[in-house]
Amino acid sequence: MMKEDIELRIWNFVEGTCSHDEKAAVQQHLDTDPEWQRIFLEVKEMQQLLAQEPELPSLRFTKNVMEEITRQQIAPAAQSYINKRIIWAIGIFLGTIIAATLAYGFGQMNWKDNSAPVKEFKPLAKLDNIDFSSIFSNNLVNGFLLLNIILGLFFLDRFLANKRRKHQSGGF
Amino acid sequence: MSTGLNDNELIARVKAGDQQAYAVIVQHYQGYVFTLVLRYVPNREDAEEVAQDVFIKAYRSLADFRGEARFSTWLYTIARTTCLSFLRRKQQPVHSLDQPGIQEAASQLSTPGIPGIEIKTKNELLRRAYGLLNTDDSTILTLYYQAEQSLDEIGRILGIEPNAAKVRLHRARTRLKEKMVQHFPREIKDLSSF
Repeated sequence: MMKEDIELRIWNFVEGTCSHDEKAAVQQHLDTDPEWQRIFLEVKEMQQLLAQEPELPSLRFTKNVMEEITRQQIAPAAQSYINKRIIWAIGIFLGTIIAATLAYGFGQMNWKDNSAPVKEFKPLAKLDNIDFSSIFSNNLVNGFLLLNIILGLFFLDRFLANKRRKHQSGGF
Repeated sequence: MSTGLNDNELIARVKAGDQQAYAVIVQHYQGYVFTLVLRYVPNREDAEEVAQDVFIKAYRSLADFRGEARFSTWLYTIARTTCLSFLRRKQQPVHSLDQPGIQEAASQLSTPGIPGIEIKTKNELLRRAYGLLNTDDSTILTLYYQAEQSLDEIGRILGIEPNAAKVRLHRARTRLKEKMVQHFPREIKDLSSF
């Protein structure tokens, strides 16, 4: 076994991050193998070195912080000023727009066209049956759709940012 | 300045308007936060300023602390983000492991075995050795050994999985040992006599 592997197993042993079986196996090596015993001593020395007391700031540190704290106030929790009703209203609005667009699209399809043979590939909808020109020539509709796309991207960005933040904070 | 109250009880008192209870928290955590900040901001004056900022930010955000994790874990997360913001403002690079050639550059910049400067304590030796590591390594070692955070908690602070934290911790220990062997061979021999 390589020295690095032995070291890793001994570190896990001394810090109690290995399983019961692994602990017994390492103990057995330590009882019999001089190489393992030597590495064990090295690891113990290193562990003691690493466990030094933290460094201290200047003596005025706490006083400085407390002087600043007297001028501060605890901000309200983020959850308290985020109105969930507004979030729900926006969600319902966007959902309705998507549903309406889909309903309109499906409404334009020719469902009763049986002219093609059964085994022949037949698309569900004939896109040329939908008169897009009458919809997208209207500036108001175009603007409305653009606004929805921007809103959609904005909420997607917020959603991903929140997800990342939650993952990083782990929920405190 | 011990009150016999635990962190959550102290925080409840601070939230209820007892600002002095916060002084107990600051007193208790100042060393841990300052040491952690020093890993990112080696200049002591700047580090002290950033550490103060950490406690002020934590105070203002106290309503967001729900007690689901340890207060220390929450505080160190604020410390880390405050350090990164400080470095971004100052435009100082945070040396990452992924950056090619960073370890070689650090070795060249380091001042091993400066003649006339004797390392007299383990603390001094450790501080000098940390100075040779990159920020990722020294931070994870500080969080585990000095700030007494578990691998799960380190994972939360650094935004990584506990298993990844375990691997990174071991790599950091290995690199620290390598640096010490390379730069402080005499001190390592005398380690037991410190």
